[in-house]
Amino acid sequence: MPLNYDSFKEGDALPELKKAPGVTQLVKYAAGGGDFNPLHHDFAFPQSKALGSIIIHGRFKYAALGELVSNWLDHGGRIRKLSCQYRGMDLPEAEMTLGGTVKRKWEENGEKLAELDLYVNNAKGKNTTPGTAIVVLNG
Amino acid sequence: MTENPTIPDGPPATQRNFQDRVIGALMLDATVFEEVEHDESSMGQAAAVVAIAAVAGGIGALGAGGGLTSLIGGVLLAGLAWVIGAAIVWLVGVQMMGHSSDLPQLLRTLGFASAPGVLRILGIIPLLGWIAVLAAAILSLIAWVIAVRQGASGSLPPLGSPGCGRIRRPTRRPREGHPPRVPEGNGGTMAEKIDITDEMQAAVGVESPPWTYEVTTTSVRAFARGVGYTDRVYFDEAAAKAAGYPSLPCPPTYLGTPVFIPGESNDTFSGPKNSGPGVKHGLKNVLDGGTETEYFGDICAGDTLTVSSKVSDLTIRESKTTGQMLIVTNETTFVNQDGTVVAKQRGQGLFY
Repeated sequence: MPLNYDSFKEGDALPELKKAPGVTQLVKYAAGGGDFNPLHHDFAFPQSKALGSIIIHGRFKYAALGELVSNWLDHGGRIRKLSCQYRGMDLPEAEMTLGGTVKRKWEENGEKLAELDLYVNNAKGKNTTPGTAIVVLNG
Repeated sequence: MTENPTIPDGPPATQRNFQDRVIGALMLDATVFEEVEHDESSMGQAAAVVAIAAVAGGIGALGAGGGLTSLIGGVLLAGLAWVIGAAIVWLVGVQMMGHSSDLPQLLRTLGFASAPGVLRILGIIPLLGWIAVLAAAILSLIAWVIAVRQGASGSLPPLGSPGCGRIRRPTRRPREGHPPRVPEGNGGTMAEKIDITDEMQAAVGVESPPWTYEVTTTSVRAFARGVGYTDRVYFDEAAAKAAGYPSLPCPPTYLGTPVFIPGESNDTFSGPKNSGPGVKHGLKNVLDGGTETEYFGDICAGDTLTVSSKVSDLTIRESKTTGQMLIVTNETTFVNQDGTVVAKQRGQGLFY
């Protein structure tokens, strides 16, 4: 069901999204997104060796935050703005929990808007990739 | 398509105290204005800066025959000018030009822009005082410009974002086997003093040659599959049409795939090699600060986007763990086949 402006309120939580991409998933993301930095798929790459592992693309997490919001909207609206900050590395196979809350909702110039606070929590509960979004609801 | 993969435990938060902020504003450090823009509790400080500068001006004018009355009057006038100035910028910038900002943000940044006014206290020096007053006036004007830019642009997160993988590579790459160090605690590499040279500044605002990015049903599916979507709308054209799109819509953050031409494209990050003049800073280490995408229209399979990017800002920030950092903000603009700007993406590379 597409999301409706009247069906949520400030403070509501978005349904969480769990992700634990392995190497193969990251290779698929590299193919789709175009970032073939070996740090995201090659354990023999010097930088991966130095870190002890490959790491998840920052942009993978950014896109996953987009998926979180897209799932919530269910095409009942559009994303106007989406941002995130890369504050910590995430490793393949480790479970990340993506979620968010409705920070505020308001109407402006005939548009129904909502602002979201987003997070990507690692297995220890640390938010490695805080984000925000502004969405416009269709109705 | 982050060009820099090394994403350690984040750029450390830097929050200055009042004194450092005033000194920073006096030195025209744009990060101070950015900081107070986001610090809602700094309104009192901003008012204090206005008052201090006005008192300094009043004292400076004592030598020129000003008295206590003109001093008090000067403080009141400065306060009035501050509020009216911010209101005008807000009216013009936000209401007329559509920037996203609010009046309190502008009041805070413009309040701190009064900081160079404290130099007017030197006006009390006989004969030479006028030089200080003139310098204060010029510095104030520059501070105002920085403050307005900061306060009225206002949409980037404090530590934001890479523009479509166009973050400039450091000109000297880390040697193999010596990856950028991860700043954790106090163990990071301390950067040498960073100066923004004229050559670096000259690269700001220069648009790269345009490059074509394609959005096809196959490319949309490849991206959606890479992220792990299960929503049929990004895979099945019938489902997309039922949801109200002309074709498969781009999943959020996907802004098309740059056309790949061997020799002309970056083999690792897939974007065009010629993405405008680079910022030649010589710093070895780079972190990806974050990404922001702003949408102005739908992007669907079948669209062809013309993409250009530019360095939109250079800022130096003090960080406790890495010393000085150069923050390079890139802005990439996506125009569709109808000439509509459908998206802008901003990214921040943190070099140290």
